[in-house]
Amino acid sequence: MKPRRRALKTLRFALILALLVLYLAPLYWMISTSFKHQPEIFRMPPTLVPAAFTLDNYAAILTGTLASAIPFLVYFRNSLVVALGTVFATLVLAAPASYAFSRVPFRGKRRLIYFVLVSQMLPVVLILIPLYRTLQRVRLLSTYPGLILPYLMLTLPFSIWMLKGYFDTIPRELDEAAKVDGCTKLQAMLRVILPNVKPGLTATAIVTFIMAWDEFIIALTIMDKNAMRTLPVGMMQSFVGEFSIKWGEMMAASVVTAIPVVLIFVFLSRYLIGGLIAGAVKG
Amino acid sequence: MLSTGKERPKHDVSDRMFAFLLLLPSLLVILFVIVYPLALALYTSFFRFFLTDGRGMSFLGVTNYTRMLGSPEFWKAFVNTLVYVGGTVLAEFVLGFALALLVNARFPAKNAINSLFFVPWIIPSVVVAFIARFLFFDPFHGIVNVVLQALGIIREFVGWLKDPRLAMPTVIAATTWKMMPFMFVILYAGLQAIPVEEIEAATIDGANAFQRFRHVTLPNLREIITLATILEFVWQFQYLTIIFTTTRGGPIDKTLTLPLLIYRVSFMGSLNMGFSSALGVFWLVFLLGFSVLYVRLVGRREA
Repeated sequence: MKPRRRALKTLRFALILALLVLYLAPLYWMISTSFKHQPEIFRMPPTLVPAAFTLDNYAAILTGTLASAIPFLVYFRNSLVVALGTVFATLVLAAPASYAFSRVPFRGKRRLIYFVLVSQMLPVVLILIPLYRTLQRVRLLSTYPGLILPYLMLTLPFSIWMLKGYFDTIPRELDEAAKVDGCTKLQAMLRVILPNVKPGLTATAIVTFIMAWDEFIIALTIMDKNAMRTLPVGMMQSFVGEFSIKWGEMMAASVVTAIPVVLIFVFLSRYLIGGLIAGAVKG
Repeated sequence: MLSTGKERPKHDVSDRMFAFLLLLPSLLVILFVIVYPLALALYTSFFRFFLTDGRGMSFLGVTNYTRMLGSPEFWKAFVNTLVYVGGTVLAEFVLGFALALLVNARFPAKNAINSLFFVPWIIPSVVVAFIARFLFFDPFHGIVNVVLQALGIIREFVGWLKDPRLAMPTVIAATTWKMMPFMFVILYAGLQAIPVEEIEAATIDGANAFQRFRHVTLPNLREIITLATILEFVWQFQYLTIIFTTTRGGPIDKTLTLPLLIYRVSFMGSLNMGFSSALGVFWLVFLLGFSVLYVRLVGRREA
């Protein structure tokens, strides 16, 4: 029995590793290609590791210009501003709202929570049509706030729900203690409860950043000036639809685009995964 | 201190007022970016309204809807969406569940390995689409072709994204690759939450692995599976980035989905806002049932 068990264990581990390698192979191929010259990319059979390692693709996208004479770094900066702005706005709005849902008694709370939950499940493109015209009227097209505002329709309901879950885990005794100490309601929230949900705030910030960094169709619609485009849209317009695609540069741009979220993940994956689970299936 | 612990400082606001103030900013934003545009879209769907011709809006009644129901393009897009979303969610679920069961054991570097399985989920969609184009298509028709040919699975190179029969399965594969980790972590968390005693009790009762799965694991996970599946189904309905950046709905509309059709009608070509709004309202009504079910289940978990 025992040796058989050990063999099964080894087999399981080998299977897990094999699946992991297979699953992440596309990412390896992207990275490997980004360090190859164009002729090597087309070589048959393909080289697994770059035979002549080069940084030319990175130099080209970081110093040169893509289509329409817009430097890649401008797209990168736009994405960063929009994503950080979305994170900030989402946290400032969602933290008090979820606190109210979790801890302050009021009439009609349940209905309002359901309203928030349903509002994250509505068709984005449908909402985008009139929203586009409204933003046009208030002259917010092709501006940072003009993109951050629609992004809140994606991030705010989910974040309120997710943060509420974190607030719910803080013991009620803490509220009582704050009350005894003579804190006002606002002081109790800011000084006693809020510092205890830092993991929840971190998780919300990460999910929000990833959503904003990834978003494509709203950015494509709202940012109609090329200089204001974010990475996904800028990249799509630079590399798609050309007759001879520069695959090396395209993969280098892909690597650079993935770096910020990968970095966040490396350091904060624990918060991210916990938060996602809390937001999706827990109460 | 003589406080009884129930007293508030005299100047403090009432609960109702406090809740109102905390919720007001969020609700205003939701009103502005969700409720108001949604109402406007609903309204527009009953009008003739082209952004291009400058003739403004004129009331049409349900004409946009009857036109929609008679439009082969709409039906094509609707069926494609069901295939795309259904296929992706099913593949995600099967693979994510299998993986969750596989890693639900002790092995070296477990946390690091589990985290690595999550990485594709954070990779931006446009990057995923670029990788998909590169793998499946170019250069020399992509590394996938080279590998499959070397393995003897295909004899000649295949244009994965250009072949009308293969385009849909290919975009489903690319989308599944990106989205699977979400199902994986949620189902894995569900597995972890199953009380050890239940599994032990079943083992003592002589249940084999399959019976334990059937009678302990599945019943424990049923609710989580339902929730995660509905959520993914509703979310994937929106998702068009990978299709938009690989096939653009082609070849010959084989990957044209509802969100893509709505985008096409509203922002490219005729800019027929009344018609595209009707398409969106149909989708909204279709998904409403799923949303209500989700909210009810979550509400029950919370109670």
